[in-house]
Amino acid sequence: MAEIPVEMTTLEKPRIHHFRSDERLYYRFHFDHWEDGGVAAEAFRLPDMSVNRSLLGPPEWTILTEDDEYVLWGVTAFRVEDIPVGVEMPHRGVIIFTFRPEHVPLRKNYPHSEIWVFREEDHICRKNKNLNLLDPEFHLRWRERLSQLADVIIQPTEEE
Amino acid sequence: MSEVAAIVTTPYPMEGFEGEYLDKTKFYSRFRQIGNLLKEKREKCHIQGSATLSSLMPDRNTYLLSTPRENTIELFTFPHRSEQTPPPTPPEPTKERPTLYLDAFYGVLVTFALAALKMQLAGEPTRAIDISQFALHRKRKKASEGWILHRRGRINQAILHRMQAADVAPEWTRWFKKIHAALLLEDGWNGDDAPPPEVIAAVNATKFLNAMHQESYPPTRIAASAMGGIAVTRKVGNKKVLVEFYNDGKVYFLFSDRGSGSMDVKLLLLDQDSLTRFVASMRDFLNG
Repeated sequence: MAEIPVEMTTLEKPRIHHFRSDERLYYRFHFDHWEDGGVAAEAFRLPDMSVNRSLLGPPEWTILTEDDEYVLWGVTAFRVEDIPVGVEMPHRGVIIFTFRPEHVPLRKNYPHSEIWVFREEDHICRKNKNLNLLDPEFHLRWRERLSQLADVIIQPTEEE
Repeated sequence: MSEVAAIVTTPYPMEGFEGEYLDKTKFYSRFRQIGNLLKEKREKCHIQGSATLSSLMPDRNTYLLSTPRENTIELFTFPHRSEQTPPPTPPEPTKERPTLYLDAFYGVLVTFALAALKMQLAGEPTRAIDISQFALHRKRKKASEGWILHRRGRINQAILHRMQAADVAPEWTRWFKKIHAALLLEDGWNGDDAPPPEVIAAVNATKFLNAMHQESYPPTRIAASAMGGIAVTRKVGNKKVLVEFYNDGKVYFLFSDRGSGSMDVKLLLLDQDSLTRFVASMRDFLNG
């Protein structure tokens, strides 16, 4: 059983809303999604993809849990500007998607954040029951692009 | 025991299931009749085996497998622990929705084989399921097996399967097993909120894999997709073809070339001709 360092816990720490464009975001992935030294597009998920902020912790925290569930997983990193933020991404010439990272601290993972996606003004998420707004053609392109931009920081290990 | 997989054999014959070509309307109608009979006469069924399977299936599913040669059908039930909060039930298929009838099915079979294995591990009585006989045959169109998926008392999916003896080489078996293994994932398997692949995604992925098999053109990777479904990839150098089979039954493919930065994403149709053409276009793209 791993021990969560005090620095990783949220306690009374505030949410930090601002993300620098060169800040790195860490994302954990399974060995099955390791592809030629990189991470496969199908490892990524929209909406509300969970990541950890490099500003608030090292990449190792991304796979650190008390039950060691992700100890064999890998960690990939990409920059905030790779999402990208504040850029309107037209799809089929008419539909506009935008992205933004949101700091969503968890009790035992302060750096935890999510990548939010919007179609026009609508935040696409399970809670809003509007996942149908996320066009597969669009998210497949986006995930492939992210997989090309992301670097593997920690290599995953195959489970026996 | 509240969480069990029950394998039940019933004596109800599958009429309308023996022709050269399967009459899908009769098939569906007969399965409904049998489903009702099973509900009414459950006590007359002969339970062959059971095991705890809470981690195996993501939902309360009941599968009816016809075995016309033996004039019986088998009933498989996979109750789920979260019955208090049932997910929305997909609409019941009707005659106007023939697309729900799929003519190839492999994934669930191995799921059941795994169920049988779990039964053995649990030390409970079981019956063998010979999966070696489940392989597609190119020439004969006759569907010789059919599956009905029940969810919470409603028939919502019918799957026809062509069962003929054919050998699948070990290097291909591993890919089929990858698809079946994906069916065992649970909600949040990616450490976030990724849904597990559904049967429909496995069925479609199997259909595509069969097309690749027929063309002796194997994938380089098969894995669950964090979007909910199964991803089949073939990568050659900087070029990659990724096909994602989603849990809503939709299938999209991506042609990607890192060298030029080009990307092409489109919907993939799953009829045999489209698949054959698609595998040929994959070959052209990746080897070109």
